[in-house]
Amino acid sequence: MNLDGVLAAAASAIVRMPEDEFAVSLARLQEEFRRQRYDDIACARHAAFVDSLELDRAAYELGRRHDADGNLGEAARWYRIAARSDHADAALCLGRTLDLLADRCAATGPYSVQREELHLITEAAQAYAEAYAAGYTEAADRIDEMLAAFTRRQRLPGPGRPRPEAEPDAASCAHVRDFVPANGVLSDEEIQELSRHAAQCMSCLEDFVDLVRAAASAIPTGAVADPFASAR
Amino acid sequence: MNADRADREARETLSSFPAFYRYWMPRITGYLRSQTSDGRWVEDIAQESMLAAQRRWDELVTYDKPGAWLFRVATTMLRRWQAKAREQCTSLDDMITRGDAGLPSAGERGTDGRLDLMDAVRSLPRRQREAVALHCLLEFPMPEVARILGMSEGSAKTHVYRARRRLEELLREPAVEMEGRR
Repeated sequence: MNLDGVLAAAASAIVRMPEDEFAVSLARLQEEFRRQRYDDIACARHAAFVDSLELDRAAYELGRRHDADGNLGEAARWYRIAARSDHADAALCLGRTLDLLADRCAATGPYSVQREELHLITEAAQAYAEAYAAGYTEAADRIDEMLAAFTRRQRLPGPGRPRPEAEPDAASCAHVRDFVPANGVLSDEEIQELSRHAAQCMSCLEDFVDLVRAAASAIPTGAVADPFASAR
Repeated sequence: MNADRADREARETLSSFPAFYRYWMPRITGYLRSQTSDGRWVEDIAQESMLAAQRRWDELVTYDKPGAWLFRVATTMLRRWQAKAREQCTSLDDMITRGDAGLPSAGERGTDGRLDLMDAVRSLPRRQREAVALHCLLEFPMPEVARILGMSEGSAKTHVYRARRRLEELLREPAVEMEGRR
């Protein structure tokens, strides 16, 4: 049987469900209804729940409106409320808004906002993960893009942005300058190691270029005289 | 079922609350069973949704789509309970009972190793299982599915499409093959 057939059979079974398989019997429902009519707290709780049905939707709509107006802080606030109740695609919208906020924060912020940026990225990743679990597969791509953008920003020099740990301090690094080759000759492995380092260190890059030039100038050029020629 | 006939039937249920109950209770039971394997939640949410309808009966009879309202109440309640449970969830057993369980093990399946439809629907992501149950099992038209789930019609269609594609895979392949892929 194909999928449509299976679904049609299941739909038909639901419609024809015998009364003894219902989740709640009519008698029990009526009894509970009568009991709650005389229970003020139960009545109030029930009324509050029914009234609150519109709150998630209202929070989501407020988020969308602020989002459209460019007020990302307020949009995130209302999306967060809607996402807490798992309303529609609120988690996806929250992730996107926090992602934009982190980007904006990184673009304008001094030292003090770096922690805020990291916090926003973390919350956005959580929101995207929640959206992915709810069935929004595009959230996975958004996490990837967000983390790639975050890594790129971390590599950019900027006010208050520390250099990545892997990158040596340019002013004081003398890795290439102080390098002494074994036997006075650079091996292939040593050249590769030094070039890898120099690719990430501006000051060593200059030293590396000098080192390569010096090595090149030591190699004799032109016609080389045979020292044993006269002995023959 | 013909949409006009379904509409007429649904309207006729508003003649009395017992008639409304008899028409919608099997549907809400089937819907909730397709969303969670926790029998207590199915009972509690079905009861609370029906009580909400009974309390608002005078208002409900004036609604154009009272069934959609009932399903919106049940869906909102289920989403809130599941969101709260996810926050408080401390064990994998809890998660499995509450429905966000993934696929059942080979031992829990039929003799041919294939999945039962309800198990397959329950293994889908939340929005997909809501949309496919409302549209394909309860035969709500797409605009009503979108209204119940609080999303655009396009979004609802996408979820139904993705759910159907996944269901086809799940129902076609025997357990061993699927477990190898997990």
